[in-house]
Amino acid sequence: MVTNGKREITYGDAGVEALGEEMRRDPSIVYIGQGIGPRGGNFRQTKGLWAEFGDHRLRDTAITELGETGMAIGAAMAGNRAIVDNVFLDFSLEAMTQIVQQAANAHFLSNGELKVPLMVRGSMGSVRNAGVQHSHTFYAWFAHIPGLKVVVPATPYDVKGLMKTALRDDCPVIFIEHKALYNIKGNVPAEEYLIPFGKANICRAGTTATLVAVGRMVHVALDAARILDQEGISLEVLDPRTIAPLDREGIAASIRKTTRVAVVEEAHASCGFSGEVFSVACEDCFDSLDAPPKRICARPAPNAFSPKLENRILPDVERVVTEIRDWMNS
Amino acid sequence: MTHDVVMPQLGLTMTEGSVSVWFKQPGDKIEKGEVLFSVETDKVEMEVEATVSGYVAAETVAPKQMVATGTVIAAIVDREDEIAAAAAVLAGTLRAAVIEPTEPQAYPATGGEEAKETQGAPQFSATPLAKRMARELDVDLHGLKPAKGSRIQAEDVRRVHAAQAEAAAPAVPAAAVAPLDVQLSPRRAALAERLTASFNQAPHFYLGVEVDATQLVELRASCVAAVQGEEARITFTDFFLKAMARSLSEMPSVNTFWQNGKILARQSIDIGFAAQTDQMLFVPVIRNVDQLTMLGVARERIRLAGKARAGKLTLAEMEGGSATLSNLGAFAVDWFQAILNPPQSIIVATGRIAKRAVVCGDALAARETVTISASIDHRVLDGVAGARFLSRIKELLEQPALLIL
Repeated sequence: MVTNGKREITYGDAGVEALGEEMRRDPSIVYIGQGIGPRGGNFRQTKGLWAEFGDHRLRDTAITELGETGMAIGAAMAGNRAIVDNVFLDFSLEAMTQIVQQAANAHFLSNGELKVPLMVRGSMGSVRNAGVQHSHTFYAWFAHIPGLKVVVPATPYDVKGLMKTALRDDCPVIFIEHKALYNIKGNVPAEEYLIPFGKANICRAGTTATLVAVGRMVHVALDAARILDQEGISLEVLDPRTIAPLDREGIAASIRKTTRVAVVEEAHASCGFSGEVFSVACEDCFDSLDAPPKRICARPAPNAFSPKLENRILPDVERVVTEIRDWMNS
Repeated sequence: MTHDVVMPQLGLTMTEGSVSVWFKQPGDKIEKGEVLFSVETDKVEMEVEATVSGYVAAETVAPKQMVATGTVIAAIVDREDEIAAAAAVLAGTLRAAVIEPTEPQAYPATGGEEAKETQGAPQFSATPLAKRMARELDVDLHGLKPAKGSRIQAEDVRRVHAAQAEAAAPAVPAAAVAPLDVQLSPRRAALAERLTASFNQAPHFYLGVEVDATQLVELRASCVAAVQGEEARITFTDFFLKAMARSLSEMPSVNTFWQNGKILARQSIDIGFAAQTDQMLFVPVIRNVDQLTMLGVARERIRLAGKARAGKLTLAEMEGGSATLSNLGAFAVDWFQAILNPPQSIIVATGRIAKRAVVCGDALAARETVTISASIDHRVLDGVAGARFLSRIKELLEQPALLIL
């Protein structure tokens, strides 16, 4: 669809476009995962690709995250560029030993002999009360491990540009989409572009405080910023897009400008990404802080199946507005 | 036996105060109920009586020295021979309690919260940015109170720096003006701080209306004549207060104010009025103005104004209030705009009532008129709400019989 001269496609389709373009460009790319062949993916995330590339390039597996991930890592070590789709990031935990012990370390253990050009794909987050086991947002677990890169895109534009970069990177990349965003639409140019890792996006410029968010929370932060703008609180919304590598300099530059930083996260606060952002504030621009940093995260409880409870656990626009307002007055 | 005398807390918000006068000297005999000293806070001056009989053993603070409430400032002993021992104890322990805002002390420039602890005095920590700016702008943070919250922030440093810069810039050649050193009382300092905060923090907007006061002048003359035997003389101020109360009672949404990011509604209609004394401006509050008769308002106004002149107003008599009236009609002031009295969201300012040229139909006529302005906190109320409030006051004052019905 083209509106106002801009082409608008969904977050899900942006990924399909990136995959198609890169698989055409690089015949070594193979895609391994659950229901990604003729079915086109649980979230339509490989729609139409099997028809074009066939079984040889897209290989359906059983529900076996450990096995399929090990297979993809082996393929990557052996000279392919491999994608493994765990579909739900929740179940990448089954494959954690392969990802952390093998994929992240192989290059270093082999004294540089091996490369693991691998993209682990999985969707995270809450959508329509799917229960705790299908709603996790633990991107920070992966970012803790040296050797892994972690991408958490918020818009169709970023999905396409970052996935193409992931598919040209020689390191293992964990590519984490948010389930609730697959159907949102956004501008994606027809011409080719890549987005480098480690470069934050200022989604909204502001002067009073910096609000850092990834994934779906970028949209919550933007809505809150629009409301608070009417009260004279000018929030700068910053999306790091990749949390490993993290654009520490971009975050610090924003804090130096606004003198305050808050993090809005669908994940939990404890030992998480918000703490990492605070480390930027404290280590890189301490003398620019005019207030203690603030975090607005999921409350420390397993994500509930009950809609009412889930809505209380996860940050929403109202909670962000209230907490930021109180914080600004403190 | 020794009985400690402490700096009393005279209101919920009082955190420090100073003795303005000691009425007894160390060694004097004192009876229970006799006045020992008077206290000056940011709002009132009050006399404090001894709660026991005995001898004044020692007084550890000099007049005008600020101390935190609860600090022991004197002792009374039962027997004359106990004086020396009690005085020695007090002298040794209490000097540190005095709050010395002017004493220059180096504030730690970097790192740590190991700022010098001054016993009894509130000491605020500063944000990293505030510390850096203080260093760069050469601002002394010691003793500085943050405008909001519990931490000195960049805006506090900017405020102090701006004040220093202003003070440092000689507007007039220094030699041309011999400065008069006027003693700044805690109340004047507090008033200055409150008004500055109000003007900076509450976004004011102003509405004005010209009121035909012909009927008001006539009715007020009748009222004065009718209650000649009474001790209370009804003034235009009483009519203005009643009109404000009526308008507020009809529009509960206007009887609201801003506090800590929230809009709060008041349950009663209490209105303050500006009362100027020789030294100070006071704003005593008349409670439930909507329920008082015109004579009731006049009596209450006269009672409170008398207490203001005598310096006897209590904090309770000045707290709260939906709105304030400032009437300069006694002077040759045609109109003016006032600064909000926080946390109130409305202040009404009235000028003098005088005959002025007014267009009646297609002709000019000489009519008694008065111009009334309202200054309003835009965080709480919008233009239309303010306009309704003020229009209703105009209606009521132009047909003032409505006010005594």
